[in-house]
Amino acid sequence: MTAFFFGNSDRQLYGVYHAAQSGPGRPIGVVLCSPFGAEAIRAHRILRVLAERLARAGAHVLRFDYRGTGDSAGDGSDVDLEQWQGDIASADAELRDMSGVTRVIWIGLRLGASLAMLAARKPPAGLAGLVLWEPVVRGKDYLAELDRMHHAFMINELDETWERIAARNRQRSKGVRTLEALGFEIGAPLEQALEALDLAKVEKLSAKRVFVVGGEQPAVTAELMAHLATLGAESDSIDTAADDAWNSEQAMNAFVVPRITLDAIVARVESWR
Amino acid sequence: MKERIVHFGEGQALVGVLTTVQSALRPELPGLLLLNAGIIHHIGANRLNVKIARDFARNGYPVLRFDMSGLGDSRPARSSEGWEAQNVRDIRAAIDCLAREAGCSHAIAIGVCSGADNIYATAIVDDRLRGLGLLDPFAYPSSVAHARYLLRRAAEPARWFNFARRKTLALLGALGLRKTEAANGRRLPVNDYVRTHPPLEEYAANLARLAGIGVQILMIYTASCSRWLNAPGQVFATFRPYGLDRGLSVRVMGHADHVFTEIATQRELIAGLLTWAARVTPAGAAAADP
Repeated sequence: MTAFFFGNSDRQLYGVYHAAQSGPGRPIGVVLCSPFGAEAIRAHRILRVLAERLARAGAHVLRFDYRGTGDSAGDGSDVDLEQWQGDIASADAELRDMSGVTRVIWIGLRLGASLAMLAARKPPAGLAGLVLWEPVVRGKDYLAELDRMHHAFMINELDETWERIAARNRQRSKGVRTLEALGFEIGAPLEQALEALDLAKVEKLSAKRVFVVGGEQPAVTAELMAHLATLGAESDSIDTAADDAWNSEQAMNAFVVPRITLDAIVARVESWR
Repeated sequence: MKERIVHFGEGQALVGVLTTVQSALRPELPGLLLLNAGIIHHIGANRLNVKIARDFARNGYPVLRFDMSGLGDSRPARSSEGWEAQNVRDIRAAIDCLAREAGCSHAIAIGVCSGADNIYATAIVDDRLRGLGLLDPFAYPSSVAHARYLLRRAAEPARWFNFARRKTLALLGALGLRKTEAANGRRLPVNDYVRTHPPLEEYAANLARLAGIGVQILMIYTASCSRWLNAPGQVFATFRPYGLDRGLSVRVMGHADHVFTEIATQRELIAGLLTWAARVTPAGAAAADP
């Protein structure tokens, strides 16, 4: 496991490389695409465990932070989905350069899955498959969910009404509107991009193989699967609704790893080698 | 601003990010250590450690945010010591790293909750820690504070409304009329972090000794403990009988949650930390006026 910075020095990205330890079959790389905000923090340990398991199975793995997130340069006010798709491409190039692999799988979790699918409209050569793990299919729904969770969290933590919390924030912000969700700023460019995000309307996909790891909304997953079929992708899915406890406030203080889901993802990567 | 990866500790197992702004560096300033909050990796809850690191670096401090053994991107420790002793070893290794990489003769450490507890445990054995930024540290409750809490609640109808709302939602959940975390499988079979408070006499005596040799101590309490601790004077009253007064700064942020979730609260916190940190001096030097 090697932590390092890559990319231009004025907007460097933080990455952690897990070199392949062994394993038969063709060499393969895996780029792990993190979720956003509080979900990224909840997922950090899970993605480390997944990276270690994949490395033990013979894959070269890179996990990284998008610009304005984690340890990467920038703050959350001026990022958007286009830049983050570019960061996935940069991470992919970095992994190929470090490991020498020519075939790479992208695994994205939550918003990271959405970004991976968007970036796969124009992927580098040798994209061997996409794993979309509990993808954010519609940005509008996601923003509404974040807003609901933020309100509920703050009301519960401060034991105040939302009106009182909001009034205090209006006073403190001096009229400047800041959209935030569970500790993370959502700047105007990101908000606009999320408003427009709809994976069920993506018109092109160059990845030929897609594995969807479904979350707690089977109808949304089914809609995405139907759309993937129209795009000509060879796709299938599993339902892991019973294994999604990682994404909770309580899990922030527990070493919770969704083992069933990780087993399925590792098995899929091995089958795609 | 320059940020680079550093490896340190036994077997180079610990990983951190060192942040500096070369043009702003002032050799007389201490280095700053930012600790894990619970098991959250080194960026901190809400990326707070990154924000603190960059703002402090712009003000001339070298800053190291890092993961303790087995957390975040650091490898587990090989030693068979208990985790509390290992935490202290890790923090001392981080102070060594700041000295080696940035030439710091002394350091400040800032940590939330378990991070604050680890800072305290290290400070009593390592006199290079000259500033302790303790966010939601051990709280010693008082019945007066609890009475004050109840009176404040009683005087605010909105709180009663909120209380009734939560109870109603809980009841609906229990009756199966509302989807709850337990119902959708998200209630986990784990215990929350349980803090073992040292006896007040021991805690106060150790802090008083540190304050006596010029260590600056900042305690910030949030809404998470407002039920039992809700006024700075309460903290001074608790510690004064043990000789702890000078060198202690206390702030109660009743509008902040335990991990400083709101952006405006994060900014307020960082500004306050920067103001306080200016008081920290090397051993043997006179403290600046507040």
